[in-house]
Amino acid sequence: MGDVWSESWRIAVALLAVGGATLLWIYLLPRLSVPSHEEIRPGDTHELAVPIDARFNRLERVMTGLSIFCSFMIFLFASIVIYVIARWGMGYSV
Amino acid sequence: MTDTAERLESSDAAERNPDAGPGRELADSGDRLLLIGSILTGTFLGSIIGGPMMIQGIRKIRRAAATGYRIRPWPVTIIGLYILIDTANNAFGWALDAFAHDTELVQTLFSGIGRLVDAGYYIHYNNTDLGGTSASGEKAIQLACVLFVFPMRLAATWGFLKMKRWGYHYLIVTSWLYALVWVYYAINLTITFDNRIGASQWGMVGYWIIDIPFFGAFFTLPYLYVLNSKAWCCR
Repeated sequence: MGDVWSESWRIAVALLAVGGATLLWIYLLPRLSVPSHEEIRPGDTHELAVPIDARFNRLERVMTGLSIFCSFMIFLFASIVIYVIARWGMGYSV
Repeated sequence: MTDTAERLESSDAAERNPDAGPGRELADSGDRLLLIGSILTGTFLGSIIGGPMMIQGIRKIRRAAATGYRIRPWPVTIIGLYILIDTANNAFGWALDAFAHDTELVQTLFSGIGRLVDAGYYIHYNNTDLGGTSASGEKAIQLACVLFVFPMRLAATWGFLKMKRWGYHYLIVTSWLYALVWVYYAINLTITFDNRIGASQWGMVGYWIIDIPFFGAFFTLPYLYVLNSKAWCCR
């Protein structure tokens, strides 16, 4: 029983650290946010229901897919470059 | 027949005032389920409960949409959930290593991961005063992320899903921070390659297994920049 208690409170501390910090940021972020003038619109008081149309047309879909693909290729390339430079920099054979 | 009449009636009411009525209650309740479910999904074992909760949340939002309530676009919901799960997974994983490294559960989890893909969580585990991984660079980025970057990203994603202006802005900010974290992490990992990846069972395959999930930042940034930012207008 003592072991269960010992396991539980340690795991609870870990969860509370993330949860507490997240709640702190939920409090702080809206207060730290500085909206640009053009974004303030009268009557935006409701929480969720905003009349938006986020559907992309065909060109926008292609461009979005392409940019995500390019981003992925940059990520892969950078992963290899970082590996090679770090290994070489520490004097190991790549 | 009665059901259809009731649905039409509620649909008319929703059309007159889409911000009120059962649609809003359903959508809010669905959002709460999505939030709790996705965070549970990011806590390893909790995914057994988190998965069904997320499905129930999506069902509720679909029902809200059927009443005529204007819900946010589905791509936004899906991307938001992906970010929540990804961030919760990283945040709780490192939080467990930082604060719960003396427990049997965490030692079992990390010695398995360490043996297979990253020996920094296996060799000399729990041998420093801070506990957990003995890789000092890893410990630095771990605490910075658990106490700063990941909670901020979780908060920003919730704001993003609620169509808050600050949520959209800070999700971009934290995506760049996430990219920075990856650069630091990848350099730190490969500089001590022989002691970590090299000493694990899967070697280079393990490097790619722990590297690829960091693609999250590189996936969300292009998507966030093509969205119409003015849609995130709630304060």
